Amino acid sequence: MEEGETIVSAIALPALLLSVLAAARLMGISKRTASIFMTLNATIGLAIFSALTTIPQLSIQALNTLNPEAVIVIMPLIFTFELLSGTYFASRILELDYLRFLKLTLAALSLTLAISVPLCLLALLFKP
Amino acid sequence: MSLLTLVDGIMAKENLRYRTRFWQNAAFRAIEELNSVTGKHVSALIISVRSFLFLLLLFTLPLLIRFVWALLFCPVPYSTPDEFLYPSTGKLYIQGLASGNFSVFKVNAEHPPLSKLITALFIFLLGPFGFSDIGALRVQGCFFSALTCVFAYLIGSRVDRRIGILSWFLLSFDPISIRFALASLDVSSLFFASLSIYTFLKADPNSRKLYVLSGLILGLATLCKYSAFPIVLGALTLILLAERTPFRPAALRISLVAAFSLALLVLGNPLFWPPQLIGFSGYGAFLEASSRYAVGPGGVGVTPLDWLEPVLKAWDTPRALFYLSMFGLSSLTYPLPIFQSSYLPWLSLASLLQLARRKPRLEGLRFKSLLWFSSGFLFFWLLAKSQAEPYYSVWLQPPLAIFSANSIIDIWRKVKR
Repeated sequence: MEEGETIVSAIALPALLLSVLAAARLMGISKRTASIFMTLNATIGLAIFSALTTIPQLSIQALNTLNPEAVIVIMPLIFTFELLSGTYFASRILELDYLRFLKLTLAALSLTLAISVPLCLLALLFKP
Repeated sequence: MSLLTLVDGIMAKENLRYRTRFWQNAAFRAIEELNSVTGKHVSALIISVRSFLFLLLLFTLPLLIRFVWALLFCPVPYSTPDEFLYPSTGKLYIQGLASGNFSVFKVNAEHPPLSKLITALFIFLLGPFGFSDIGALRVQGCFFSALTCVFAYLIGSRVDRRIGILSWFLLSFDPISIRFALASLDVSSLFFASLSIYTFLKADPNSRKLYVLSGLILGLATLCKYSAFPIVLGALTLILLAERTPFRPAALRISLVAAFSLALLVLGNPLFWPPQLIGFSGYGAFLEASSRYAVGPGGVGVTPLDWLEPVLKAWDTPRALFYLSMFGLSSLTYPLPIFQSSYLPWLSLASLLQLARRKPRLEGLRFKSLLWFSSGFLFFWLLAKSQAEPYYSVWLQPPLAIFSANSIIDIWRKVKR
């Protein structure tokens, strides 16, 4: 699966970048604002969660030892927390409309999935 | 009597004023004469000597702190196998270059050669003074880590000298920067990366010279460690985007930096030379060494974007939808323990939350240092996550120090008002 993983990364990252630009264009947001916003959004969301991992119950070691059922519940919660907090603080710092840029974030992520899943499956199917 | 005393007083004052002016003029004339004889500007020389001594002090203090840790308290070996591998590889490279045998560059081909060559130079210089190979490697790390502190000062003082001093102070005493000053490849590369960003920020938009220089220095950083290239180029792109530079000039500047750094990388790394010249496919050796470098839970490189494998494996279970949520993997959490080991991330996070609360305009160096941090932070999260070692966090500390110093001085100014 190593090659498959390389293929996924190679497709998903450009797909993410293109999706951000496409979603921004569709929503009438400038590409510069969208790029800077998404960068700060991801940085702040991840940084806030990284700070929370200093709490023993939320430490990386504790999260890594969770059973699969707990992972299914907790990981989407963490992701949602990162997404909402990152969007909130980035939009406050850049003086932007929170709800509009939350829509941009969700649209960009959905578009990334829509573009990259079929491409990845095709690439994996025709892999020599 | 009182009138006489008053007159005497006035005369004494006048005399003093005349003598002061005379001596000032005399000193000025003497300096001018000296300037005409030596052909140099002495007053500028005095200032530059003072600045040099000040910078020397800024360099010496963090160097001593790092020396105390690296040479007195740190166990030997601390970072294996790097501390054994890099000195011997560096010496091997020197022997290979001297004898024209380029096949030595196949050893440890996953990393570029410059930092290892500098290690060999340090071994050559410090060996006669009784330093072991590991000792010389550690001196190299401390040297470049202390120089990075000086550049944090220089970048910060472009806006305000107090910001420069505070950035230097925060970085000099930062536990992560001190502890991982031993990571010679990263620390040497980080020094050149900071210098490249400093040169880029200093560049006049109408002149191309400093952009070329910034690119060449980035080439040196990339010749120490490949990760410098995406981090610095990402930071510079984000800075140009934030500055709202028009597309053409921005693209030209980034292209200049990228082209000259890549040119230096190809010229400086024999693995990228034509096979006819070195006698083997250097690029093939590089790819082979890099593919062996995959690490992680199953011995494979997984990034947060590699979500499809769990989806395919769990296709007929309810978990497939969960795994298809792309970022819903445990690798979502950032693995570098920066918040556990240093005060800089806490200061920066507090500054960010303060910014969000007060909503002052985020601009200038504060914004640029935040974007520099974002570039490094997201690079390690998105691409290098599964291969991330704790010492990679040294890359995040200089922008964090500058951002925190900028925020603290800003708050202090507001409180003073």
